[in-house]
Amino acid sequence: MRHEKGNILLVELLIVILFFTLSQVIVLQAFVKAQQLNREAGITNLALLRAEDTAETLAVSDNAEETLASLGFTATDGLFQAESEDGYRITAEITHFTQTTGVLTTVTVKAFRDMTELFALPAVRYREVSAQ
Amino acid sequence: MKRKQEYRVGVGASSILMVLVVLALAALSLLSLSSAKNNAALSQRNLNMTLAYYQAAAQAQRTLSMMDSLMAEREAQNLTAQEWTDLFAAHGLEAVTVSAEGVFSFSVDAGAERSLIVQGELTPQNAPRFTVTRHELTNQTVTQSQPLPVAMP
Repeated sequence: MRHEKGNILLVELLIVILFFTLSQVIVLQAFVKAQQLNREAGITNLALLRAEDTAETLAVSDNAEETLASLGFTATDGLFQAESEDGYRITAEITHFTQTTGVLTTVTVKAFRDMTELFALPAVRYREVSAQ
Repeated sequence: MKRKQEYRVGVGASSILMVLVVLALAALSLLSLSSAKNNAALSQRNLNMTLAYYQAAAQAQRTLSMMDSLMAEREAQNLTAQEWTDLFAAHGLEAVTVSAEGVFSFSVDAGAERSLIVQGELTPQNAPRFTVTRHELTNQTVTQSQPLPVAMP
């Protein structure tokens, strides 16, 4: 009789431990998801700041290529790239549209996290021929 | 003889403590997840608004380049303000208006009820053919006729 009571208590304890373990797994998953979301948002914010900084610097510069080089971009096959220790990569692609009156320079700044594209920000500037 | 009273912590106390710890952790994890989701939503909203601004600014630059091209083609003609407005409209620049004082203005939608207003002076016969004097992001819903008194002496 006493032995049976002990077994029931053991099973009860086992069920309680299992329930707590399950709860902790769910709680841990929620914490991991929250951390991941925060990290992704942080990377997006940092990449956006860098892209904005690049676009604003380009808006007041005369030579887009030189400006990108001074901002830490390296050119490979016409595509400018900058790696960040914060977990994102920025690329900049320059296109010049020349017309008789001036040049319309479009720099498309793209940000990537791993291989996923986060955004593409256009930085466009028109300069008259006489003003160059 | 006086019996000595014994205080023993039973199995129930540790179980209650465990339940409380689990509940506290569950509450913390939910709060943490909710905060992270809000943070991500805010970050996305900031991204969308910034991109919309830069797209509007890019559109404004394209409009200015087209205006410059049209003005260069017709710099010899002495067009009136209305004729310039009509000319721009005929070439897809319906938003551009030119006043009698030679001031052009147009606005580009920048998303989230915002507009990028561009204003400047039009001088087709001189170089440069235009000078931008205003490049401002404004809210479409807020109309402010008088400046707000921020600090009163």
